[in-house]
Amino acid sequence: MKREVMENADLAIFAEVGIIIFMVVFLAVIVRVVFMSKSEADEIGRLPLEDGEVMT
Amino acid sequence: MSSSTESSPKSALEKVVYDDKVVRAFLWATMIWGVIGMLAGVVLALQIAWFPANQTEFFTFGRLRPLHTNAVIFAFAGNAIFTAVYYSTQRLMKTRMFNDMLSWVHFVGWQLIIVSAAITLPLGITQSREYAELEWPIDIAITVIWVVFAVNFFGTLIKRREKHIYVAIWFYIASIVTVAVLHIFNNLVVPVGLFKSYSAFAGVQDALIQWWYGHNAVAFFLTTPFLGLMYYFLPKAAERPVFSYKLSIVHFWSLVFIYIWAGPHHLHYTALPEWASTMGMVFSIMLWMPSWGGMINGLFTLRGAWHKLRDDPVLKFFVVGITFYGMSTFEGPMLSVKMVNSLSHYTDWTIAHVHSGALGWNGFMTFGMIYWLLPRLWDGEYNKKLANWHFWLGTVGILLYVIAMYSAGVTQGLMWRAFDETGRLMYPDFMETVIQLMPMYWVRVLGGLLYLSGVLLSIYNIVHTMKGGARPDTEVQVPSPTWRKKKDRGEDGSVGGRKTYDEALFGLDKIVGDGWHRALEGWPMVFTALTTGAVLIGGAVEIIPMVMVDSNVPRIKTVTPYTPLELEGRDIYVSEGCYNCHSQMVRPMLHEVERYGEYSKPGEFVYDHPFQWGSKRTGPDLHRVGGKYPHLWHVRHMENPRSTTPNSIMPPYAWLLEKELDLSNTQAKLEAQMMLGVPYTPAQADNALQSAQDQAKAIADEVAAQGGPQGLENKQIVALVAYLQRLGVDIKKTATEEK
Repeated sequence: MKREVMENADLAIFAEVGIIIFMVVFLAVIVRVVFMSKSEADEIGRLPLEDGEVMT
Repeated sequence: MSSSTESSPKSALEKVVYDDKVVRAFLWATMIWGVIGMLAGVVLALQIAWFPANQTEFFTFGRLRPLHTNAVIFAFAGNAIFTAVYYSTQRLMKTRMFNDMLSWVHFVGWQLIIVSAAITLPLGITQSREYAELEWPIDIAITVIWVVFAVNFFGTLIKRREKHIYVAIWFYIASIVTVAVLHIFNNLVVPVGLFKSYSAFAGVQDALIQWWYGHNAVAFFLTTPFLGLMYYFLPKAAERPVFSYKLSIVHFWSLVFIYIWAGPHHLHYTALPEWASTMGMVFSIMLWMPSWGGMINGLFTLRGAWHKLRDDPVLKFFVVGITFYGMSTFEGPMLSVKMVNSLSHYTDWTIAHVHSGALGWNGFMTFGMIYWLLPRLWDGEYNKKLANWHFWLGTVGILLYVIAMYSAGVTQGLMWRAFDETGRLMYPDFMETVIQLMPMYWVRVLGGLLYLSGVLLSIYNIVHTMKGGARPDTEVQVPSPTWRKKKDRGEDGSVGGRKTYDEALFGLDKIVGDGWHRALEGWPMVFTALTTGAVLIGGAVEIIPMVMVDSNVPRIKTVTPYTPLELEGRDIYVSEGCYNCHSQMVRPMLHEVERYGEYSKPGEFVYDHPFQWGSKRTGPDLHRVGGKYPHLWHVRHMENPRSTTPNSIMPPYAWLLEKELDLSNTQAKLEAQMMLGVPYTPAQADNALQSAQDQAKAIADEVAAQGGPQGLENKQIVALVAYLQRLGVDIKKTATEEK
């Protein structure tokens, strides 16, 4: 039922633009992760275990 | 001491006192509302299995179900999120919350909102939008309190001492921003008085926006904040860092980006052209990847620590919680596939899916966090044996619940579509398909009771732990944030001779001058802007078509606005929460057309503010019920459903025959509808009261003439009958349809 509404609307461009933006961002994230140094990743990964030295 | 301290050129330490009081408050609120919300759930399960459990007009299934969903989502899960955020953000940012007063305004404000929900929903004050039922004044209060929370949270990020923003914080940022966007868009209404409003959108458009909200509320209220919780508390409990930090980055961005798009798979698989539908399926399948990436990242964090599961209830809860996350995020995309959806939709399969996520993922992650927090917030130890009992009661409870509901869902879905060898419906009487499910409904009651009893044990355990008294606020020594001071950095922007990503950014600072300094100090804000961008792009790609689609709904000449009395009846239908059990959407499938009549057309809903399509058929669809039965049948049925439909599990609504029909707002209601574009004339609005009284009299006379009760013309029942008799009849006047 909704199908006929959406087909009439001719909104395919939104999906096309959407997937292009997604691919660009996704690739950028992958590039960032691939080039991230292991030591940096490990250091950030340890943050929850380093709350500071408890005084009380 | 931390590696960041070792690598820091400055060894100066600063004292930080974390605000643990507000964390304790949120923790208690989580558990108290959890018990109330889950108790409501058990009562609802009982009401389905045994209708006499519907007591008084205030606690019928239709009014109680929104209370249950709001209590477990916004009160239980909501307070659990705030517990996690307030505890972990302070520690990850190595600073106290931005402002204590804001923390307490947030806490008190949120609880008051929940109390107002608990009062208004049983009174039948509702928008009828699933998971967004609360009326407009409460929605405004939610907006204000959410802004208070956001200011407090982002203020904390700005004054942080730790330069890196750990992935848990990213998930919190995405949640705060997106929930704000969702809440505003889905609550655009025109008020008619303090306790009533009409949705700004109608029919198809209203449904699209509601389910864009509904799905993304699951994503950004029940998924992303709990992933933040997982990424902080799981490493703490396992005493080792997350399996792969790089994987968590990919997990975050792909989840945030895809989730908001995959939202209306309701839309993708029933509404779009074939190529777009296929693309939507690809997106949904893509969503499997980050979800399972997250699950694997969580489970692998326990590498080398699996032996701890034997005696640590916290890890037991986390492991089963994360496993349920994996199961329900596998199932979600599967249910989006058109073929599967045609069977599962409107059945208990959806209920099973939701509860494997809510009880397994949200519930167990919350309990794991709470058991981990107890000895850190109070001076005592919880009883591990009881915690293990809680774990096993909960696990068996979930399994009983979901297996019963899978079984019920598939059974009913198959019975609805079954044809015999002569080409007729095998089970033409809807009640046949309900009776079949009763054993499963009782198993659900048992499962819910087991889960609730586990939670009650945990309450006892918390009280037991509290006996030692509250611990004072945690005081820690943390390295001074040298990364903020220019003089502490090397010539190339590096700190301690190493060059990390953030340090490279500081290098950029040197090149572009001081203008960047502020931007870098506000890096979390930049990050927030990027996240917001990701969410808004996804949102815009969906919302703009939704707004534009209105002009593309084929109008049907014979479909006209409701009469004033029908509109009043519709408001009663909304108020009683009929949509919780009855759909108004006949799908274009042979068995549905056979059972209910002509399939529903978009043009039939253009005056429906809000839409009433529903999402579950505990009872039959009602879109073609108009004219199917005489008025008296409806009166008898509402008074006592068993008198017309033997074995019905519907609650009786006898008070509708006794309560006076209030027509004092009818004119204002028509005028509000006119503002929304419903083509009433000013004369019709002025004459609304007289028109409603005339129609009420005609219906009451007919009921009396048919041998029914006398003098119903000023009772609520006549308005409801008027509305029900109007449902789906306009299209029968003529088949002519034009755009």
